[in-house]
Amino acid sequence: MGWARAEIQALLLRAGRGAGLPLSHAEDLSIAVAEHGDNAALEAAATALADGWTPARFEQKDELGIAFKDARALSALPVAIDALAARVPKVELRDLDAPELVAPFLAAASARVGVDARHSDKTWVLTGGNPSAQSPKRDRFNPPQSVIDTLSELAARTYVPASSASRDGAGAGTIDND
Amino acid sequence: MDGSHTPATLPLRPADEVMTLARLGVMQPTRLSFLRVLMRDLARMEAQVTRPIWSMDAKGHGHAVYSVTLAGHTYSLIAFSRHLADEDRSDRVIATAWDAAFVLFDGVPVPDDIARLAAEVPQQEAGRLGPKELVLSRANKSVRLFNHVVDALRAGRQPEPDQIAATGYLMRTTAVYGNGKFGLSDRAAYCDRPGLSGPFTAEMLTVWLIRGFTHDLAEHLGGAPLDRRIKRHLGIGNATGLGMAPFLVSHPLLIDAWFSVKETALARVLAQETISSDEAARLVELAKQAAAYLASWSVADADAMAGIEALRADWDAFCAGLDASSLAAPSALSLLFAGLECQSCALQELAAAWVIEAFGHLVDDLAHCQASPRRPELDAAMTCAELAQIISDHGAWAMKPDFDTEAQHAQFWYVSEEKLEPRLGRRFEEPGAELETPLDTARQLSALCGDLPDDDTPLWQFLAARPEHRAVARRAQALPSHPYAEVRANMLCEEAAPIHLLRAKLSFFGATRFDPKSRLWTRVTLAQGLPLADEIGTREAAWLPTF
Repeated sequence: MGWARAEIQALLLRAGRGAGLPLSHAEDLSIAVAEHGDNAALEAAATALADGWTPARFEQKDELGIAFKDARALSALPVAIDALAARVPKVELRDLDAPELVAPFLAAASARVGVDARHSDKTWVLTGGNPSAQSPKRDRFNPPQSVIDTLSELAARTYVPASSASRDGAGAGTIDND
Repeated sequence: MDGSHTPATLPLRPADEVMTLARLGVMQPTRLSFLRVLMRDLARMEAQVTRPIWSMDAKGHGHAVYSVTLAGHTYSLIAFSRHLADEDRSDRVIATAWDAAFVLFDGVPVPDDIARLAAEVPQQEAGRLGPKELVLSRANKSVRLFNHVVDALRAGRQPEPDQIAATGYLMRTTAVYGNGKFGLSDRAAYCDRPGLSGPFTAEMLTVWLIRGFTHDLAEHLGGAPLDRRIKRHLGIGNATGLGMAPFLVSHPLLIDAWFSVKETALARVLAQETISSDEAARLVELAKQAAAYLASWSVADADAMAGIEALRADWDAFCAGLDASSLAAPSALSLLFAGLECQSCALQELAAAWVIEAFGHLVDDLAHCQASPRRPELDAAMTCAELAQIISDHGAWAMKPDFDTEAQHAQFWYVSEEKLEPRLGRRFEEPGAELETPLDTARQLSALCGDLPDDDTPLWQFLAARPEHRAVARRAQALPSHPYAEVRANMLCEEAAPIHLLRAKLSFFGATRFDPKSRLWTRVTLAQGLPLADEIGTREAAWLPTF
């Protein structure tokens, strides 16, 4: 029966936070993949998250744009899209680690910024285009169990063992026969 | 809405006034609450409810199917009833067995569907659902009243009215899950269907159908029909804990839509220069209904009961000078409301719900603006100084707490390893604060303000270097156009009680008879006073039900 997109989004958000992503980057990843990704994008997200968080580093290439060396999709794509939305003409993503995530991120941002994407080998060049909101996908995910396991393990890093005090106060009484 | 017929409106109440915990914690249901909207939609769409399957043994164990046709679609509640030992009956989310389990199915189930769901649905969180299943729920009997009702019917009489009034429901749901949880259908798959497009509509439809099932089960075991008036007053109970609270923080634009609709409705009603004598008479009648409801609303919690008693007294004083002729005078409603400025939030909120109730023709069209699929989007082209100005103009509430003092961040929200449910811990007494769930919008906004340069640095560049601020930056940017998007409170401080968030959200659902059991959880009644399945389109729903 597969996985609902909403539950994948919730899992990705927790996994993203568990992997150390800043909140907005975890949010962007979860929305991009859950609403616009496919099984390949989900698998790429799990692999990238398992590699951990690396802050985005970019350089001003010239007056026309910026470039990320050794671009990590999880950190670089949100910044690249912000830059293009702020009318930076061109963004280069060199040696991008998870190209499967480019299309979902651009689709998720498509209502606020249009982006034309081209790539040669592992370098992606993003330039401003016409915004045209893309509809979310509706079909369900059917990822390998290993992907779910990876994401679940990362998400578990955000879980806290409950204390007896909080457990006692979190809900109804132990027995409710009234 | 047709813009050419938009009613006149006054300025909306400011968000600094509306979005406080003190006010959220005393909210009342309105005719725009989701259950009420559902009842009107069912009537408008001429929904028909049938019960194609009733397979229950003499002990009331088995399954039943209720089907409802709605705008060309059929949805079916499949109910599974089983034996539950008294020692296993718990309203806690960590329970593993219930008297009854339910699923709202997209279509009419065939035997294979029922067989599959019979294996999964009673397991609840441990089961696995699919795209044909829209909502998952479970309920426990309110044992005393359920047994009393069955015993009375078996004895050839109706149950005692005071017992019906005291409890008001035969079963209590302890969770109602939707939108993809445990494999359920994504809301996106059905949210554009007429009748299910509003927020939590599928969940509310499920709750209303479960209420009918509880009536049928009692009649089945009692061997006689319940009086119709009694059935109308038997809603469905609900026990709600912390799991519901984070939603209000994690869906800012949706919350803004809910509050904007309510505030717009109030402003439209108060903008009327005069009202008709019939409308004035209706308001007088509704005021009496509210007084009767307050008189019948009793809870065990001493603080909550004191609040109800204070509201009873305030409402009586407020109503003392009310009569139809004075209400029909020019600007009477706006003047009446202006006179409440120095009164309690509880009185103001009850009065707001009261005036909204009487003017469906002015406000009911707003109900369908309560769904918002949008999220805050970063305006990356903004400068840091421009964002600083927005925070200065709209974020003062977040700058008040001194987060260097322990009391201002004494609590932390987290997800428990035990059951993956939200919980609230004491930061300086319990472990795990380093893993806290980011529901600390005020603290995040305060931190952003402290680091944000007040210059023309492009915001995207600042956030590229300081990505920890990016989430709250876009929330802040949303505030000028979505003023009700944030609960304007520090949810980490010692005094911040989650019960206020629960009350606000449940009032939007249409819950009545709030019965808080601690600062962390509450019982409420849903669907009390709503039409029965065979009364759709012929009977109005009660605003504040009395028996």
